[in-house]
This record gives sequence, C-alpha cells and structure tokens, in this order.
Amino acid sequence: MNETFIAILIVTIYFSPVFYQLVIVIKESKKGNRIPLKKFFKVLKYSLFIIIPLIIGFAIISHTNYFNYEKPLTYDKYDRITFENFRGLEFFKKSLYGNEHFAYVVTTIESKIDENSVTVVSLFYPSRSYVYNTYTNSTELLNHEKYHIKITELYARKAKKRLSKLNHFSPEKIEGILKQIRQEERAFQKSYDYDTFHSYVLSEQKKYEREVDSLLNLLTEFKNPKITINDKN
Amino acid sequence: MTKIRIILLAVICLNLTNCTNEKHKFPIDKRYWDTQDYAEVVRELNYGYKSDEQLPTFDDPNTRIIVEKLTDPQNYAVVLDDKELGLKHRNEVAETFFLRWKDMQDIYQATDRKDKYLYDKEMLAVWQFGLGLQLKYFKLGNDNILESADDPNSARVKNQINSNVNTLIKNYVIYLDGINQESALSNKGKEKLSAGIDKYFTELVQSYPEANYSGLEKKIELMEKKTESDQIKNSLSKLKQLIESKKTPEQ
Repeated sequence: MNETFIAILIVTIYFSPVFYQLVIVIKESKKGNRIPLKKFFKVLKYSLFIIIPLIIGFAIISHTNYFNYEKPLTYDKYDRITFENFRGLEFFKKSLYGNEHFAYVVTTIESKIDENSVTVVSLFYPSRSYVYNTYTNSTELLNHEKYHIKITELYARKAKKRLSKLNHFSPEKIEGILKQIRQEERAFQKSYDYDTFHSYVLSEQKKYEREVDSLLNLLTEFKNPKITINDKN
Repeated sequence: MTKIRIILLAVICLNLTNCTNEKHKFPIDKRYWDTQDYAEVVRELNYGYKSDEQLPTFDDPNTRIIVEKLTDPQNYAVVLDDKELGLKHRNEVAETFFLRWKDMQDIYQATDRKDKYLYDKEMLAVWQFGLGLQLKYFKLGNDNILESADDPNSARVKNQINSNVNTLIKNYVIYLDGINQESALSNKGKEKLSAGIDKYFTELVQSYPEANYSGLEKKIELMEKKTESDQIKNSLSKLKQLIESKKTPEQ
C-alpha cells in the first residue's frame, strides 16, 4: 500500500461520521427535514476542532522537533557535531534516491544590523536536521553533511568580506549583499550535492572538501561574527 | 444495506485513487545507478514485462531514458575510476557490476519469426556496456593482484596477470560472434556493432599492446571473410592493422 492510500484511508475513516451525516442530510432534505443539517454541521465542527490542532502540531514537529530540542549551534561548535546532534524527525521522506540511509542538515546565515555594525553568523539547526539512525557509524555520511555546515560558514565569511568593503553604512546595501550571499550559498550547496551525488562520488567529495577548507582559511580574518562599517570619505 | 453500499463505494473510490498508470518503475531521476539499482532494474526488465510487451528502446522517446541509463558507462566509471576509493572496494564493485551485466545480456535477446533481433541496437549497447566494464574490471583485478603480491615481478604473478588478460581478450572475441548473426541485425545494428569494434577493441589493444592476440587475429580473419557489411569489414581491417602495429619485430 502506498502512503497516499494510507493517508486517504485515515482521513476517510476519521471523517466517516461526517460522511454518514452528509448522506442523511441529502436523504432528509428531499423530505424537507432540516434537522440533520444542523447535526451535520455539529459533527463537522467537532471533527475539525480535533483535527486542525493535530495537523498544526504535526507540522510544527515535522519542521522542528521540540520533543528533542537543541538550540541552533554556531560554527565554533563545529568539531563537537556528531549524528547525535541530528534530532529532527522525518515523516514523509523515506529514502533518498532509493537509499534509506540518508541524512540532511539545515543551516542558515543569520544577520543583525546595528548602528554601525552587522553581525553575521552561520547556524546549524540540530532539531531540524535529520539522520536515519542517530547511532550510525557512517563517517562518510557525517563528513558530507558537516561540509554543508562549513559551506554555510564560508558564505557567512564571504558576506562579511563584502560588507567590509562598503564605504558607507547603508542598511539597504547590507540587506542586498546578504540576500545575494544567501542565494549564492544555496546554489553552492546544490552543486555540492549534485557533483558529489550526496558523497557517492568520493573524488568529487574530496575536491569540494579541499576547496571549502582552503577558502575558509583564506577568509580567517572574517571569522568574527561582528563587522563594523565606518563611513569612509 | 445502505450503509454497506456506502462503505463499498468508499472502498472502491479509495482503490481507484490508489491506482497509478506507471506500470514499471525505474530510478530515472537518479544521477548514477549503483549495483543495487542494477539488480532491481535488470530484474524488472527480465521478469517484469509480458512476452508481447515492448521493452524500453532507443527509438521510443518515452522509454529511451531507461535504456540510456541502463547502458551508461558513467554508472560504473564513477566508482571504478575514483582513485579516492580503495582498490579492494572498487574491485568488489566491479565484480558486482560484472555479475549484473551478465544478467543484463538476457534482456534484449528476443527475435521475430524471421530470426531478426527485435532490439538489436539495445542488445549491442548492453554488450558494449560490458566491454567497457570488463576493461576496467580486469585492470582493477590485476592491480589488486600486484598490490597484494609479495613479489609483483615473480613468474607466478606475471602468469596470473597474463592469464587474466587472455581471459579478457577471449571475452572480447565473443562480441565478434555477433558478426555470425549479422543477418539478424538491422543496418543501424550493423553500424553499432562496427562502432563497438572501433571503440572498445582499440581501447583493449591500446591498454594491452603486448598481449597475445593470436586468437583474436584468427577470429578477425574469419569474420572478415564472412561479413557482408563493408563497415564491419573496415572496422576489422583497422583492428588488424592496429594489432600488427603493436607487434615487435621478433613477433
């Protein structure tokens, strides 16, 4: 049985009292009896009252696992990250190209614009990141996923480098640079997954690792999250 | 009674929504097929189709992608050529690919009442997939022997390696048996067969210029006489010249 079928079956069973009432309404309406219609709306109301919070709760847990929550980690915690930090839940995706042994990380570049400075950090979200088995010993898989975190940090540093070249403190320009960097980062993450085919092509994986490490080293001076922009005349 | 009818209707509706038009499933979105994918795809192609059902072909735009993926040498090359991977691992993967290829050979063998191949281009593509694979497989096997040998220059190791190369050449010679069946091939099939000789046999001779090709030469001689296709004749002739060019004066 496929998943769509199971979902339809569950919804049908759940709403069966509603369907039952609907049939009665149709039957009785021919006779001019309006009482079943009121009962129908009552059953529908209670059914929705129960299912809507359940759906919202399910969506929230699918997005971030608050049952096993760990706050987002900054890049300085990189070396401590293992699969035990991958706490997210995955209800829909059962495999990646037929491989059930898969994982993914969620990372973002966060920023805060102050008076004359900008704070840019790369964050790794443990409770949104998923691995098929937290206790897996697959170092290759972990390494591949951790390089996604490094790529995000790389683009956070690139953002700070570009911001450092601004002559004037302009929130619009800063937002523009950050938006551009986020797009570039997503594109790079996609190429990384495509070229390495999620680490299947080890030579490509190693090529990316060398490139990312070397670029990160080149941008060491932008390691600090905060960058001050002074007006230059 | 009405309730039963409603329940029955609901069950039928559910089953209908569960029906899909896709009869055969192939991982066509996957960039590279691994040995597990091959196991599943080859099983589907060998046993999942009815005898009168059309198999995926190069000519059918809807199924072309399947046969292209099936015979794409990148699927094995991406692992076997990856020097970051260990030799033993690559050798094991090559062996598994080789076993899968053996099963692949059964897929496109069907002939019609006039003894013509129904899928000659596809059958030859599968063959050529195997020729390319074997070049890498035997190379990895020999590299593995050399790596694990106490003395890679010993006579025993050399004999083992030569024996493997001879087996590889013998396997290649089987491809030329296709010329015996050339009447079962379409013109495009003959072109493909000929292109296979040009590409893969050239690679074989270039990879092992000092190997003993006497059996292959004998086969070329016989097939040159037998074939009625100028293109195949030309390919065989070029191959013969290439082998000659690699011979040292003593040979």
